[in-house]
Amino acid sequence: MPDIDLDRELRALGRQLDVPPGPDPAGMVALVRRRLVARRATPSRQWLRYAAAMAVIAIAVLVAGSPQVRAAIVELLRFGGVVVEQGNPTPNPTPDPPQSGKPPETADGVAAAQSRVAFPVRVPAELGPPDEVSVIDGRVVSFSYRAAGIRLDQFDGTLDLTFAKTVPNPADVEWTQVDGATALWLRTPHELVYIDRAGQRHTESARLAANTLIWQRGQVTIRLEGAVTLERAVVIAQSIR
Amino acid sequence: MARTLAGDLDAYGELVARYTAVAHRAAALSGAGADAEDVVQEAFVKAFRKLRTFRAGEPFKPWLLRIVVNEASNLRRSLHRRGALALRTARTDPVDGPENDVLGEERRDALLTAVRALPDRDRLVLTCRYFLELSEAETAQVLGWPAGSVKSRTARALARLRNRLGAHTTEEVSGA
Repeated sequence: MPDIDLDRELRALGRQLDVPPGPDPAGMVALVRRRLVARRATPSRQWLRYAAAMAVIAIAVLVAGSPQVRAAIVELLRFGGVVVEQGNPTPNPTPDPPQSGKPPETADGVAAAQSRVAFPVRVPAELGPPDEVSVIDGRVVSFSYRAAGIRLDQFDGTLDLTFAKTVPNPADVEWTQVDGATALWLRTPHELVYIDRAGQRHTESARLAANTLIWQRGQVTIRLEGAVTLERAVVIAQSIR
Repeated sequence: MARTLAGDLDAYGELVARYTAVAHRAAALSGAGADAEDVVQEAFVKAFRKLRTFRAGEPFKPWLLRIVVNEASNLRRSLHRRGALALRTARTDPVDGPENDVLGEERRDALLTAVRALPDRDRLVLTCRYFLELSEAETAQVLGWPAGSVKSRTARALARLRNRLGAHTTEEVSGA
């Protein structure tokens, strides 16, 4: 039998196959949308693994707001890979979870951390050397200041690392400046949503569930979390040299 | 597409609406059966989260269908279900039209039985090329194979199909 016949027959068979009626597209749009904005708050135990798989630093801030406001914010946020997405507010952000069970690679100090990453690691003069330094997959350097209750993360912004933050109320987001650069100030407990290289979102409770200042310096995005005021956070941020 | 890539859910909703039907057909034909709708929903959610792996300018349909087909295969595997069982013809409501001239009922059943008996990869490539009517390039993208192997796998699958059909004309046709 010539191929051409089998070709035609198979196509004809395809058109006669019994495929159940498809879902209503509008219904599918609604379902998918609901799932995408729901941001299931299942903390991932494999945070480090996902962190290791992360690529550009983008900080997505989930803001419930009108499309106009959102568009304006998106424009403002075009730095450091920050993205704003519209979504429903998270009703009950998990406050202040204890930091346990996450053993990042602990570096012996700032110099050790510097030797393991490709970007300049900087120390805020206001705080001095951190109590603890950890490096995650050569992309994130995290300083911990235990007494001050501050955590400072420096991300290699040239990579495709994605961090997303869920902010319950857009009024909790404030614009400020660090060294003349736009910075984002979040003053409510929030959840971090990590997007790994495969594009999967993983929700992680905020590490300190405290105020957070996010800004960019050169190719590095920096996040300061802690029980500090905006003024103090900016002072600390500007002392980073 | 640009708006979708920027994370715009409204723009993504337009894509979901446009591709729901084809995604559903792909899911149903690649073994999701009655769960096709769930598979499609899951695939759209995953696709949005994977947008970072989408290269601007590449066609969206095969990129999406790859996720759909993978999702359907995962489901099938987890349920230990044979994908071939998803392929059925609409017996009660046969399509009127030129297809019936091309394919008589008996021949159609024999063909379907033969397709169902093919190895998974053969059936998959034929499903893409003939039942979803995708091009070779699209099929390559959906299955994640090099374009060359789509061509050769299709040829091999057709040859197997011909052999089986030949055998069936001389033997008792068994439903299994």
